[in-house]
Amino acid sequence: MIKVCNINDIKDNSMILVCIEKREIIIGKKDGRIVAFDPFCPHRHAYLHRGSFKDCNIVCPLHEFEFNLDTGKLVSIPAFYNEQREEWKKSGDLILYKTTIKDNCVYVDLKSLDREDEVSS
Amino acid sequence: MSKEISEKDVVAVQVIEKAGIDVKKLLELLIAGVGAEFTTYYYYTILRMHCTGLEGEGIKEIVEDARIEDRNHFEAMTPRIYELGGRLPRDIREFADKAGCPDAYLPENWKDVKEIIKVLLAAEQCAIRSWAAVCEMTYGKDPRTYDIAQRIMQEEIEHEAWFLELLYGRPSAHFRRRFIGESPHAGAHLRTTHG
Repeated sequence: MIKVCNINDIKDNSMILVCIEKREIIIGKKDGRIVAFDPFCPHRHAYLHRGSFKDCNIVCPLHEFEFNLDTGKLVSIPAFYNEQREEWKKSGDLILYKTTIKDNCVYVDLKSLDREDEVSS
Repeated sequence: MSKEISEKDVVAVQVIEKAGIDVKKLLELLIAGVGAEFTTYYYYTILRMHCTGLEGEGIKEIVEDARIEDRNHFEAMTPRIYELGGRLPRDIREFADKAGCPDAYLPENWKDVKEIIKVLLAAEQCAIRSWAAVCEMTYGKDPRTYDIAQRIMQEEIEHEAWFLELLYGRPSAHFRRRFIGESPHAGAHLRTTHG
């Protein structure tokens, strides 16, 4: 676990982009809960810290695709993309990281929650 | 005795990696970006063909300006992908599926010119977001990619302003190009006579 920031460094319902060991990750606070995830949208790789929270999801600023912050799965695509080809709408899962709060500090495990083979560099 | 240099020693890549660029991620964004430009060029061809009648004739050449400049954007950024060690997908179908913006399909009620302009506007707005992401990733770290991306983005911003003006009467603040496909910003990165 790597110390990232103080819990008060992040306003509620906002997120920040941080660099840890040469790797960028996003630390967010959604209704008081701290979350950490890859900064790039798994659909078309846009920076997600320019997006927004909606319910339990992060909404990508590029196409408004929504990814669940508990599972990393794509859960919603705007209706105006209904006509688009399925191949274009396909997306991988958002990479999530485990976080811990200790003494008001946010710690992140750079080993992603869903990929056992991914280790911190 | 001089240091042995291999094909993998690309200093132009090493320096931006040292500056903090994840080249693999950048290449994914760039391929998505030029994919959107290329597919948009294709779809704008169809949209332009359907600008018919008295109203359609009025916007046909503006659509043509945007169409050729989007092709220019593909031309301007693609060499950078290869410089960075990337490549375009071998299969054009895969390329289209990886495009950073959705397909700009001809609307069903295309005889209403405003419906065509709405499609054009959405495509330009998506392109602005797409190149803004490249600018954000490269700013202060990869001046060459940043310069190309910001020039493309400037032209996309102007295209958006044109279509906003046509759709809502919001002043765009500029004239049309001096000639079709002028690319006043990205043109600096084109290696062929353009227009």
